[in-house]
Amino acid sequence: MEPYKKQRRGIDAIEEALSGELNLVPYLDVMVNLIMFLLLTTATASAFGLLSFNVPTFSKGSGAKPPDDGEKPLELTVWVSKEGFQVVSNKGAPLDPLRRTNSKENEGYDFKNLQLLLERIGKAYPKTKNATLFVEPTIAYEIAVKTLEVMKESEPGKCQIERRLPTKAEAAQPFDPAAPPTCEISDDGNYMKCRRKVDQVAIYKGCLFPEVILSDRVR
Amino acid sequence: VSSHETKKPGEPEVFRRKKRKLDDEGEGQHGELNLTAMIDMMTILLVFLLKSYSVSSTNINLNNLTLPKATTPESIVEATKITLTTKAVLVDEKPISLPNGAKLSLERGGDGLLGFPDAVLDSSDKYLIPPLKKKLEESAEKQRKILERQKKDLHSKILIIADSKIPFGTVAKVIRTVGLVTIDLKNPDGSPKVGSDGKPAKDGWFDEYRFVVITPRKE
Repeated sequence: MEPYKKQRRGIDAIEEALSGELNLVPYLDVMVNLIMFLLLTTATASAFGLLSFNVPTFSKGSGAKPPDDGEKPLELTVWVSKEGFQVVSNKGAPLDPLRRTNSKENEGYDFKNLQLLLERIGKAYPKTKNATLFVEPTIAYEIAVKTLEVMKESEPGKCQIERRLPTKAEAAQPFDPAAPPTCEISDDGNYMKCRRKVDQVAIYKGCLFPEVILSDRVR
Repeated sequence: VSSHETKKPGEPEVFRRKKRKLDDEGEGQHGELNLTAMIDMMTILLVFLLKSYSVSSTNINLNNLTLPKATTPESIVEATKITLTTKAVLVDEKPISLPNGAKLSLERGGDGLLGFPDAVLDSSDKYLIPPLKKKLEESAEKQRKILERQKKDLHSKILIIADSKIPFGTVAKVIRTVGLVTIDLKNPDGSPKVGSDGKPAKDGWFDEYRFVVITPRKE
């Protein structure tokens, strides 16, 4: 009977091969491993974010156009030094510096009070959305990034940015790429629209000073 | 119509039903799963994940790198990446070539002024890093060819991925070098454009700057 069984098994194998059915198990193994890898890497990658900033343009442009009300626009600079923060503006009385504390958190830089101060200025000048950040060369990059974040957001996660192409009407308006972004506030006051580039308009909702120029020297 | 549904002449209905039930039980005893539906689902999932993985520049290598933390609404975009660790500068994951014997030490020292050695910096402009500029220009030229073929705007974005502990002065030098990367403008017929001064007209290549940060995970 044994030779018959072997023969039968051989016939079964030939029949299976001829039936045209693929063995999908190894294929499935590969797929499961690949999917696991891709899902894991996608989950890790989602932890990255971006903080946008502008650089000074020492160029040919004629500079920013003053607003129609004839008033000089607010020029705000946050200066980060070894001593702490100094907020400088062309409006009102000079502000007291926010000195570093003995706290080990954030190397003693007083981000809480900086945020309160910037919020106060932001509320007083709602039409200004651009500011300058000057950081001394010896300051840690981490502190510069944290200051940039505080300047952009009044509270974590509140600032929303949407970038889109200009509409036909917006594209027809004259635009100077060398000038700081020109912004206009919506009628209901809910958002701010800034023309950033020839081919880009940014809509800011709930942001403090989203258009920050990062300067490496006091000009 | 399946094989066990075939009606034999003269076979009573009761027998047919019983036979079908036995056939079904027999199939179940083999323990074979129908994998086709699962394979379908897996293939769709795999294609989706591969596509989203390939278009994102999320494969940021965090070896020897501690990124600063910040909350930001902006998620990662496709751009040229400059990575600054305490020991190296990389453009799109490839290190820049340094002059013979030059070694980088970008961490903050006692006076916080350590950074690029003089051999790496330009002799007349201490804010310019020629090896980095060269590498970026090569990258810009490659991108330009691709964008020209796609008839897209001839500008690019830059992502700065820097260690949180390096001094800001080092990052500032990198930002300034990035700002000096230009491309030659061309006329529609492909000939080089000449400026009003008779020299070849140039334009800055990178027009959007962003710092890469670690964001808190959304619950």
